[in-house]
Amino acid sequence: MAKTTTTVRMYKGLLGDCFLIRLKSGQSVSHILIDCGILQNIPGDKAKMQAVAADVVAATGGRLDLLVVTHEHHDHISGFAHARAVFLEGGLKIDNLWMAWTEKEGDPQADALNLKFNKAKQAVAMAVDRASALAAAGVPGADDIVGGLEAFIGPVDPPGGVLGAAERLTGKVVMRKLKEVTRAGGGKVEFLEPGDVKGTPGAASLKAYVLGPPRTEKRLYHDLPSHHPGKEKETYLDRFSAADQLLSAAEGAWEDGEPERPFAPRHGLTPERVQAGSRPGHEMEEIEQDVDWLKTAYYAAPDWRRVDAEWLGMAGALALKLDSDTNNTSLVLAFEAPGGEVLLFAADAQVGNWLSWHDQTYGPAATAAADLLSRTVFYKVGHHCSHNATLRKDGLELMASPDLVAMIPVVESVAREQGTKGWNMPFPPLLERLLEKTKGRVLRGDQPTDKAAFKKSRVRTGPGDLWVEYDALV
Amino acid sequence: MSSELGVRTDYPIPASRRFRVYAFDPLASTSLDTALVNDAVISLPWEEPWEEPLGKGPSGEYLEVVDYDPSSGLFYEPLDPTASILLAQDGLPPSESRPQFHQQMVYAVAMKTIRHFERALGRKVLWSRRRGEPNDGFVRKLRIHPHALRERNAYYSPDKKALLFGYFKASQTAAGLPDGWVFTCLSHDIIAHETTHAILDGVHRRFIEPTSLDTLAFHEAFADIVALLQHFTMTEAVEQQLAQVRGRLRTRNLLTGLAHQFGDATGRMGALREAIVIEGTGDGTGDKPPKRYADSEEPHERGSFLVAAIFDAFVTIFERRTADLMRLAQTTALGEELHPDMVKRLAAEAMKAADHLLRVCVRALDYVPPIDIRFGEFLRAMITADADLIPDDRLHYRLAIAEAFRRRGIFPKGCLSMAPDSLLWETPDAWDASLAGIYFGDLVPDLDLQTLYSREAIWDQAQKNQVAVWRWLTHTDDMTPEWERMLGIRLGPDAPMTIERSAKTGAPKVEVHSVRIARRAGPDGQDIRQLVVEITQTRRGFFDPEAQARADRGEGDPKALDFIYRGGATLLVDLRASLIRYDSVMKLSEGKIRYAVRKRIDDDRRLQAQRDYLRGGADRDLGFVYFGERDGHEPFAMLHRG
Repeated sequence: MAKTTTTVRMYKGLLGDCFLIRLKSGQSVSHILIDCGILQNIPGDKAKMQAVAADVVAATGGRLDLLVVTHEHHDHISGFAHARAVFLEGGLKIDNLWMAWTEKEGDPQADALNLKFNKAKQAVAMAVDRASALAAAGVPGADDIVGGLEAFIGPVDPPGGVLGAAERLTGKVVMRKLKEVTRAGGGKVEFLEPGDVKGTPGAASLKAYVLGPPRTEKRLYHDLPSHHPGKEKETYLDRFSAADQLLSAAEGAWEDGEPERPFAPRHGLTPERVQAGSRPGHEMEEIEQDVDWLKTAYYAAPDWRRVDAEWLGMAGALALKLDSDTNNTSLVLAFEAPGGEVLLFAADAQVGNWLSWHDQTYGPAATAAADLLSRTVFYKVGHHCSHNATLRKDGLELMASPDLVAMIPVVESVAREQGTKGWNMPFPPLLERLLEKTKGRVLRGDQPTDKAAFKKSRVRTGPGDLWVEYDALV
Repeated sequence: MSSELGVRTDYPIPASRRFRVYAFDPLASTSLDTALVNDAVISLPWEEPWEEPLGKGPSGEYLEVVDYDPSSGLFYEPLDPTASILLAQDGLPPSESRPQFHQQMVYAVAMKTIRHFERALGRKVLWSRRRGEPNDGFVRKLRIHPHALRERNAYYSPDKKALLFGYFKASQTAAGLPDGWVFTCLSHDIIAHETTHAILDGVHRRFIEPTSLDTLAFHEAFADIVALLQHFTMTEAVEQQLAQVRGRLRTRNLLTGLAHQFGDATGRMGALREAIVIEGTGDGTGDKPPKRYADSEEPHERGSFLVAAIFDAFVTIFERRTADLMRLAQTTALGEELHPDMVKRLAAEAMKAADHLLRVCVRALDYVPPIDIRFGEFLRAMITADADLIPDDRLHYRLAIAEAFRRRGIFPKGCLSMAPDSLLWETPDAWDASLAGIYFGDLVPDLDLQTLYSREAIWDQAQKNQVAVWRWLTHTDDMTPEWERMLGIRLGPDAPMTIERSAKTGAPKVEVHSVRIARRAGPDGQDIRQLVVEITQTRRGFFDPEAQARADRGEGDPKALDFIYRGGATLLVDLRASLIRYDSVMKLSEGKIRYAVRKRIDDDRRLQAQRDYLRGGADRDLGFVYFGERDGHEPFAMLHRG
């Protein structure tokens, strides 16, 4: 087999993933693009992603041998929408599209999963709507809830899944359109299963091992390093039945059209009634007195006493769980060169996904995941180097190659601005360990490239620091 | 004849107000065994003349139930506990379907918890300060919202000074009704637990800061301990359960578990948490090896070790108190039912032992450091507080407590051994002879020490005393290095520049956290009058030790920090006259410092430990990454939703 040189280009300045791989074997060249996204609500995101898309077109001559979309998260797919002319409207020809089995319509497990995710997403969106309305009415605390949630969900399908006239490009829609445009251009769409081994399409090719996402539900919903083995399922049920309750409460409707409320209808007074105060001369005097008591106790008290919005805070926990579960549906690929070296693209896989790699062997030679990890010379660090997306013992510590290089698609300054106190990305202890394992050969999306640690001319940077690339296999 | 309150003065005022409640939760009423004893009554002392009279809500001196259910978009009419028709029947009968009963139960159980604390602490319960409120942040009433959330959760909100209870539909249940509603405000345990969070925050408001694994866990554990030991105040339930387990409290039963209905409705096949961990199993249900205290990092799990230790001590004490009874009755044969008289005697002993232990736990709150509490320190606090009040430990309570901690691998740092004597906090001169002459003698006359009854007056008095102590500390010219050492703070010009400075003087800032007066009476007529003073300092912490060193020297942005680090001490000052060595003569004076429980502001090892904790192994929960370090905004909500 001819030698296949491999160059990985990471687009910089994105809190999001976009990687272009160039394979060269003799005169043959193939291109693989893995994800294209930036976090939502970043100023200048559209222009930035259009520049990235233009570079992809230029570098590939307008044709991709393979597009890999790892999972349906804004920071991995928003570029397809920002540069829709290129990706969704035929500007770039896509010969092959790889997605995880979780995106396969008609697959019962995938459909059930997506139904759950959708429901949770709608519940969160509903909470955002309700909290926004409260915030507009000046109810204290509501703003915090909106702020905490918006970062998670991006554009959301409205309940019922019917899009409005001004179609928003939600994650679902982007995924669907990518499949459509690929097929329309005569390309092939494949949904990969854990354990699959196949050559990457194109004249120059590497062997691809599909490590995740797992089919096992226990693994799929395992997001965190756990102290309670076996309890994950319970947590998951908790959270998604929370979605049910949040949704039905927020909609205020139940199957038979009656609002779902815990007490018989004779109990209770609406806020409007309480705010209006007692009705003089009304026959039920006790009730009128109660109205006045409640009005004074609730509305005449200082604002900080009010609790209108607190119940929507649960959407935060739900959003977190949903976010991690979606990360766990990441398609994880290990590319193997004929010489045995491995390039690992972990997408945003979380704990359960990582653990599941070791649940099966790969190919007729029954290759073990641990073996692949031990030969890894290039690691695309999971989930922007967060604390729970690089497994320690059964992950990074198995990467024993002295040539290991890591790329981290992260912008720390942006990450620190997210949420109420900032996202801890890159997670310092993990970054330290990566620097140790790679002997300083870590390429970050947010830092000037220091070529000193690398062998001569294996690292190059693009114009305007748009990208950095590394010759992983020479 | 009637007073201005409309009460006839020619009738005697009753001793108590009685409220019907569930002894456990509604689930216990669905089983024949427990239904009878689940219908319990809580007696609360009738309001004193200086307290706000009980009214609609219910609303009284301490609490105010305001029943707004935002997820249903409804207010529920407030209960009027003073209605004569309710007074004649101890309030509403237990009912899940009547929100006014929910209001009644949540009020009664929360009040009961408050009264237990007051008895043990020897002073009134005050809620933590609400900044920006008039009168120095005094908040008279904690609010209770019985239906504020629609989720499997209930929490204390330090910000809102409120308890928020949730309700939900039971999706999976073994014992209850599938799809039935579960109300956390009807769980005796959950109410007691959340109320304890609020009370504890009122005593130690720095304990909600996550400075170590133990600190948040302590809040949870303490709340569980109170809920658990309060089981042993309901006579009928205790008797029924003791009869069922034939006097053996090391067998799991309704009394040893917490929040059974909640546990059942969330698929746990039993209590939410259990005080008895069956030996040889991880959580009593599987075949996993037992987890060790040192290995558990999740707050509730870690806390469960403290809960189990206290419960173990309780059972040991109970067994010791009843050993003679058991021998007399010779009821060792299995399958034999205990004589009802025997059950009554055992129940009385169990209730007494639980009451004693609860008091020991609560009293210990005055003997813990003001910040960053560790379980081992709580052990020392319990032992010392108990030894102070009851020097002669005839029933070996302290040994039972120390034993129970030792068995779970909870050890205090820096103690000679686990013998109760070694666990006592040292007097300051024991660790530094030069501290012997230090006392508060000339401060005492400046303090307002009169006995007050109104909570607001007590609050005002405490504020005034805080100012007096602060002034005395910071405006004394002879602030000696001895004082600095004793308080664990730094005041001199050589103090690290990261210690917060006063904007006016540029000198290191000192915060006098609280000055409280505690009066307690021991069983043999012992009388303790103590001043509890908490003094703290704040320092900017950095993850990078080199950055820390630079900032300590005063380099860089004087506002920059990665986290807040605190130090300081709790001082226990004797208000009775005692002998003090002063300028090498002994003299009789008030104001001797019995103990200084300190955590030094310049302790770099503790600083490093907090750094390690905050940066975490990879084992912090998701909330850490996405919402950042818990920032005091609903710290308990995240913990419980977690």
